[in-house]
Amino acid sequence: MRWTQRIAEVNRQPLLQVSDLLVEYPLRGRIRRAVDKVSFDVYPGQTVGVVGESGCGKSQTMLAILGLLDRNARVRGTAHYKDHQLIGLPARLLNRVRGARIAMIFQDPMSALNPHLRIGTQLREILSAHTQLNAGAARARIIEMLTAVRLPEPEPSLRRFPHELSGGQRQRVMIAMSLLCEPDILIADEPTTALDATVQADILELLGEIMRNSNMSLVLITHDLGVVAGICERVIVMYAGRVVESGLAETIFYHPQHPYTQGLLRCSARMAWRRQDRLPTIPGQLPDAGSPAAVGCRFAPRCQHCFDRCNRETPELGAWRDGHAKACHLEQLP
Amino acid sequence: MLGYALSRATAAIPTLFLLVTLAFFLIRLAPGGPFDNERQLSPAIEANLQQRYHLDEPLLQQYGRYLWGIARGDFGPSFQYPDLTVTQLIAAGFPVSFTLGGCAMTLALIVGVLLGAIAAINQNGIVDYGVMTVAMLGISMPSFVLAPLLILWLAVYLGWLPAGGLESWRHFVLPVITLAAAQIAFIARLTRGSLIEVLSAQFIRTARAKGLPMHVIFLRHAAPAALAPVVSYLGPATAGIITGSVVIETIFGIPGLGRHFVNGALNRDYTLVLGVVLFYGLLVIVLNLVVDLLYAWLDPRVKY
Amino acid sequence: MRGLDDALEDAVQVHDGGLWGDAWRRLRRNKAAVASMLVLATLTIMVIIGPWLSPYKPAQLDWTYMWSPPSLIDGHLFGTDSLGRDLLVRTLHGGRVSLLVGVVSTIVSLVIGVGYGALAGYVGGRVDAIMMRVVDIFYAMPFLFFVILLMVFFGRHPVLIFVAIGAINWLDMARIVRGQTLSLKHAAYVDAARLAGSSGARIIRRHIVPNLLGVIAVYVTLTVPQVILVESFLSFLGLGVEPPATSWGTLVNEGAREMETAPWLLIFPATFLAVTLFCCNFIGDGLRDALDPKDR
Repeated sequence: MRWTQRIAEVNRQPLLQVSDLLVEYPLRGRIRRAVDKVSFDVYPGQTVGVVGESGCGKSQTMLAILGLLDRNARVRGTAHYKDHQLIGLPARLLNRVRGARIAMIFQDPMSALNPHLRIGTQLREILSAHTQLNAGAARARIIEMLTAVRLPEPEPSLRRFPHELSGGQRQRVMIAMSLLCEPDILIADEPTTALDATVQADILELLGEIMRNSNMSLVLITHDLGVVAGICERVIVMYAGRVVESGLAETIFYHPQHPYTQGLLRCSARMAWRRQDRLPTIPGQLPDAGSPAAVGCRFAPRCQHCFDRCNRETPELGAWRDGHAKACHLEQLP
Repeated sequence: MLGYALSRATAAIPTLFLLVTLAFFLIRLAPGGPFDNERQLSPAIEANLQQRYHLDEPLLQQYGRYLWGIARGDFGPSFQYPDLTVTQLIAAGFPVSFTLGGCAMTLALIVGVLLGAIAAINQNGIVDYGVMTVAMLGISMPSFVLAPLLILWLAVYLGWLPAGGLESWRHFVLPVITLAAAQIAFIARLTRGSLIEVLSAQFIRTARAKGLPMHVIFLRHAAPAALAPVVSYLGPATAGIITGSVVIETIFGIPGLGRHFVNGALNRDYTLVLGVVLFYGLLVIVLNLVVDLLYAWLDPRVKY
Repeated sequence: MRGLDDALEDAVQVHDGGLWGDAWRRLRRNKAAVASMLVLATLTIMVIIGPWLSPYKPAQLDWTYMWSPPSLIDGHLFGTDSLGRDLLVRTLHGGRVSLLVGVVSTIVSLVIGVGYGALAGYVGGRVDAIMMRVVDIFYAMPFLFFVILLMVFFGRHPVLIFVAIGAINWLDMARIVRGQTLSLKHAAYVDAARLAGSSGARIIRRHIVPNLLGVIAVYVTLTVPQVILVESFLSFLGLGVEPPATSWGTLVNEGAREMETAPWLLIFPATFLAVTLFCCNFIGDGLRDALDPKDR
């Protein structure tokens, strides 16, 4: 198994270190906390999956790191990349990191690409912003990359507009665009959610192939565990703005330690844990993000193992063993 | 693109036809017109009209003559000035109105877009509210109220600018500003709304994620998308300027088409009034065609 | 094209008075709109009751007080004009005409727009396409010219004025009503196919109709100032209501001619006119924001 080869990350320096990341929005007098003291590391060449249901803060975390949130967002905490602290970095310096060293692709390629500009223009401008390549070299590089992502007819595509391509082709263009400057980290925010099932598999395979052939790190945000199982080595599980469990994918899948993770796995129809008549669900709903700083575990209202301490004390993310961490008061999950 | 232009042009023809036909019958229906046997007209006009319209001929033939006349640019004789034709009056007045309207439109576009952009960038800030309130004033204040007030202030009390007439470029300043005022307000509001929407669009976030500098994002990504609604507003904007010119020319005593129109209206000069309406109708249709083409060029998603 | 699930979801979310209650609350918070409503209400009351309270009649000539500026002493609060007529009472009378035209013409406009749009939406198909094409063509035409044309040809009967002015502004309403009619037809299919019993029809009626009313409300508040503006345009040019009836436009016209010697003749009616338009626009804007917050 390929991920067992990467266990020895203890001896390497993390490429990206996020500590106590906090994202808040003031809303009509109250404060809505979208990301609540999230910490994690990303190592070189590693594929990390960030899992959680819609609204758990996984996208917000990554957007915060790259400074892409709205103006009214309040971000605190640190995100160390090489020698820079990204949070609060002025735009001028941040622009040297964005796109060039840390790239991000988004969920819906149709709205993520500018419908008024040709594909070629949108690809070329990222090279103009970050490299000194002349027009000819840039064009060659772009075509090379489009071929690598297996876009059919790369040269004619340069003159086309986004609406002239299919969904899968647009996402390939997005991927190519993000790789042009050879970034260290690629953040993919639900890259396959807006695509058809068959296209999804293609795109994931493409990403897998890219990972195999380079030393780039990939942070894959998704709510689909099946996607994670395919290509991720490490997994971070988020709930209501907090990290509730993190560890190697193998461990998370076969020995989950947090009740929420366990619930997620059960819900995933692809993981046939047990043959049941009805699709299992996690009862209850996400807590209202407008009431933060409430003490106690956020998942407690929906947890079947919840006990007294869960409501009194907020569980911190504590190490379990072998790089596996969970935020739960239970000693061991039955 | 050419095919699109042609198809839009041919679609405009029925409209023109409709307009001209309506005009033809309107002249004949009007009480007190030359075709109304009860009204007494001066013999000079009577003779002129008899000659022009061949009133003894069958109706269809008269209609044919009328169409043919219009096609050649002959709108008939003026009632007010028996020696002049409507065409001559239009040819005299139009260049003036065109200069006035053109300057006003240009001013409105430049100032309006700038103000709207400033408001959008400072969204919900003091500048935003300030600009939008001024815009509201511009929309609410009728030009014929604004004009006298400005004349009173700038021409009479301060004496900086002339109050009327058209001798020098100075004479253009007040009329152009007053004419442009309402449109500046509309365009500013439009630009602001459009820009705010564009700035929160996904592709702007992608552009930021690519590490592009702010000015590139603004000029290459935001501007074309945000300006599209302004371009499609150009049609109604021109209609607004044409309408406004009627009052402005009257107030400032400018010998343009608008003033001819008003005088014609007050003096029951049917042919002149009709001729002007037809002329402007034609102009507007042509302009809409141009705007359609411009929009198609701007937004590649438009199918043609 | 709304999906099945959308239609059903909408059908389920029935607000009991919630839509209007929400909108009203949001409108109340818009300070400019509230202030405008108060000012407008005050103005309307003044215009209706004022002339009865005033000792002067609008056509009453007073040779002893010609051209007199506003003063509290001699009772002519707004001053008098060249014939000694009290400006205050004339302004209020003019207000009656202007506001009346505003209301009536807006209703005319509403009727034309709703009728046209509903017809187009109901019939559908090619007729609808043609009707909407006509709307597109009219959209950029300077309508005022046609109105003036009609005035010239057929005289200045008050009824004609109301109707002609009302006919200027029906285009937007026609478009919106047509859209709603189309979606109503669509929803009715869904209703017949999926929902059992009459409850479906009631739910949809309770949802589409309030939606439409909201749009109508916004449209009315934004049309009234436009209509008043057009009427004052016409009056200013001398093509509006015939004397001795007067409207704000006529008063501004007269005032503008004498503005160097008697500026109050211009300023008072102009202020009333501008303030009314200002308030109506603010209210219209506020209503639009209140009913559809995502527009902001």
